[in-house]
Amino acid sequence: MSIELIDVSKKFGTFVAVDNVSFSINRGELLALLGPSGSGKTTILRIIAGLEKADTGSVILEGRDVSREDPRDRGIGFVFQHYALFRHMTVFENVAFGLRVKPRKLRPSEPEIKKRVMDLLSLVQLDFLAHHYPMQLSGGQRQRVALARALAIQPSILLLDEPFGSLDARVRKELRRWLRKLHDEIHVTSVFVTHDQEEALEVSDRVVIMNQGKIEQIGTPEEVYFSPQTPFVFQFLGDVNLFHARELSNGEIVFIPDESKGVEKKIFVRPNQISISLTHSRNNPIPATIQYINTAGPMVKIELMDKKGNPLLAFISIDEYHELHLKKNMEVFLGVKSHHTFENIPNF
Amino acid sequence: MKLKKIFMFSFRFILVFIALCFLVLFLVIPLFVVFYNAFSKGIGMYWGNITREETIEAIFLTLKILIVVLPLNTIFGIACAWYITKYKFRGKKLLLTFLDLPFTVSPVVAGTVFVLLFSVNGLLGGIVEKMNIQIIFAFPGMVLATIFITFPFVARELIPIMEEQGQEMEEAGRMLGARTWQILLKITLPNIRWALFYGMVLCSARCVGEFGAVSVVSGHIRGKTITIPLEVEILYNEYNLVGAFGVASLLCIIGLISLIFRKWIEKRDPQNLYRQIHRYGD
Ligand SMILES: Nc1ncnc2c1ncn2[C@@H]1O[C@H](COP(=O)(O)OP(=O)(O)OP(=O)(O)O)[C@@H](O)[C@H]1O
Ligand SMILES: [Mg+2]
Repeated sequence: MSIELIDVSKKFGTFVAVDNVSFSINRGELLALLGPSGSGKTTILRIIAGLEKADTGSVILEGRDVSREDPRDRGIGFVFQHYALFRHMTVFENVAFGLRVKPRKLRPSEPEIKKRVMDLLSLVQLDFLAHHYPMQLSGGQRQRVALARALAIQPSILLLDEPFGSLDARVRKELRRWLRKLHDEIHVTSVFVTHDQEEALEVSDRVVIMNQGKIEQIGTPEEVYFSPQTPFVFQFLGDVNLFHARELSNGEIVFIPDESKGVEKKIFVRPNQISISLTHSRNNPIPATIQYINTAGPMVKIELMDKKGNPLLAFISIDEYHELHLKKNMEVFLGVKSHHTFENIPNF
Repeated sequence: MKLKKIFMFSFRFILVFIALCFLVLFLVIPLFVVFYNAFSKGIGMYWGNITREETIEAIFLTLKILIVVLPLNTIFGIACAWYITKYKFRGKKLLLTFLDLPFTVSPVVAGTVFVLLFSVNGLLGGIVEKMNIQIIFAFPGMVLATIFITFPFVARELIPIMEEQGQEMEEAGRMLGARTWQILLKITLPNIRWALFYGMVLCSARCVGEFGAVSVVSGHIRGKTITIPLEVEILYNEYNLVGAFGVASLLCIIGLISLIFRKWIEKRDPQNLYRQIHRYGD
């Protein structure tokens, strides 16, 4: 089922939690809502679900305006941030709940319910825990029960609020690949909320990036990562170095500016787009001092400071690091391999 | 250093001593006196006293009131707690204050208000007379007075626990297609059942023991409007001390049973246990 939000706004008292948001989600798509804490992601999800009423604007599911409809009638599966499992019911009963509360005419027979629940539990690889209570499960297991429970009603839309929020990094990675695989199998239109950019970029077909109740950018992971439209997006999707450079009239950018020439230009550079050289050259004009080196990880992280005292960050390969014999407090020269600039950025 | 330790120790000793004195003076001795006097003329006399016709009638009337009041106040308590914890509305504070009214208003005043309300010249007296039902100095009036006195007990037990649980489970139920009554029966009630049960125990205990308000609206008609506490008063006023204490011992036993219930519930309630573990654990 496709989802369309048109000019949706929501205030809590005088605080604007969602500010005139419009976007649409295609049928079968997996969309990530990405943004920092408090940016209105959960509120948008709850508005789509019908748990919260928008002050203005409308929610349209498959061409039907559901803004005034009860959440029960929307055919939406919702996975809550804190699972919200029924703690007085076993895992089996939790998953069966959505089937058991159906009106008698639509309710499957008891053997059918049993089969469907057990199928779902084996889908999330938890069939062996069917008769345990939520309190007896680990976080990741609870998360998967919550997912199985939401899937039991065969929803046409699946909404997941920080599904992996409270899990440790490894389980997180495992579960999100698993979610991607599951989505490719059952193709239910899904929206999932996260504040982890890596997660959003890895799992989703498209990403909506939110900030302070507004949408900053919508696009595929490649689009938002390689062509961010605002400094916020650029900064939110990874580490950033900011240079106050100058652009000359011939279009050339100089990093060690002569204040009298050209116009000031803010240059955004990712740490892996910075090159380090031991000698000054045309390509490596920026002098800096190494403050700290961290070699643990796939890339070597080097923290530096330029002559004005601004902190800088560079990622280089381990081979390069060994070749250069870099050490703390060493004087080096930085170059910029590629960079980003933004037109009219008032408050950055 | 040593002096300080001795001081701390004696301070603690004094506190414990005071607490114990209170306990003995106001709980143990009265309880002992009740049972001592009740049995002072032997077990046979005691049995005779609590199986007298008037006493049996009083017990039945009390139970009849309980049977009407308990379900009504349970339903009211659930509805009230549900409304207060699951919805946002204006005047929530005011409603909570009203909920405490029976605790703050003297029962005698409450009884008198009912009498004034339903007497022939009262605000509702006319209507009642037209419908030809007797309310004051009769069973309905006693039920009304008891309802008023005991209505906060269930709600007061439920509100904190329902507030703590939040609404996530209910919202999950709604997203899974459950109707409101299904959410109430399958999600809300099972999660508050021990608190609800405890609230009902408290409500019953108070209902059985209520004296002031019921005394005013009952009119003390022998064989008609006498509950257990009123029977105690009557026997006492007739200088039948052994009889009075005998019947009073029944009330004590009911009180003790509710206490035992309370302990039992605390043991059974997994949430309570969970809370305790966490409170003492970290
Ligand atoms: N029921 C509410 N009453 C008042 N304010 C609220 C309510 N729900 C949300 N807010 C406010 O709206 C803003 C957006 O909240 P929301 O829960 O949508 O953020 P979020 O993006 O999901 O954040 P997080 O990543 O921390 O979960 C927050 O500043 C929050 O304080
Ligand atoms: Mg949230």
